[in-house]
Amino acid sequence: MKKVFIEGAITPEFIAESLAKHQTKHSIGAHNMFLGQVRADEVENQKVKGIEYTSYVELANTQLETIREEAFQKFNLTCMHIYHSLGFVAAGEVCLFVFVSASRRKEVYAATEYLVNRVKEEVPIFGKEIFDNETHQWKINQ
Amino acid sequence: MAVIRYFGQIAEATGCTREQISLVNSDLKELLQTLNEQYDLDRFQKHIAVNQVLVNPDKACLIKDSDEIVILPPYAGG
Repeated sequence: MKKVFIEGAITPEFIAESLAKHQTKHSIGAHNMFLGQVRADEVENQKVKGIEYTSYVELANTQLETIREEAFQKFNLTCMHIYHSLGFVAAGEVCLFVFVSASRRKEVYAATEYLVNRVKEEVPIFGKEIFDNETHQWKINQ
Repeated sequence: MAVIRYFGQIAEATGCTREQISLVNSDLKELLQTLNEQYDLDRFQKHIAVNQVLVNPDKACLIKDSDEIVILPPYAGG
């Protein structure tokens, strides 16, 4: 089982390191990354200062494994990585990192969108948007 | 005792993340009805998992005393 969940924000250093690890794989000709960043939305004069993420991890890992397998069947990919934060992620920080690599570029564009959509729709992750004044609302994916 | 787990705003509504309930030949629908009377859960959209598998709450499903039932609010990943 690939590790997906990371405590806290996904750092730029982690993302750069992930890319560096693939530079020895010379069959790869195209990488594509999706980075989801926490927005400081404003609701009734209160600004979101961050999102507290929780997950039903046991089911999330099963769903992610299925999504990974189906994406490998659908697209001709060399590598695929999905990372999502748990715990508090401040506005401006990255909470979702999807990274796919293939020999050519067409596959990676389509695969990235496919993976991001499926993660958002099918993986039991919950987000509590915390405002500056410590009140909160629950995030719902549109 | 069956274990019931709650996440996100559903855990906020129930005031706990898990509780144990003694069940004898109970149906999932009946259990959800009981929980709704207690916590008013019908106001939420939700997914239900029994022993880590998502189930359709409208279909008949017998619940055993050893089962884990999980009530999940809408997903919000990303």
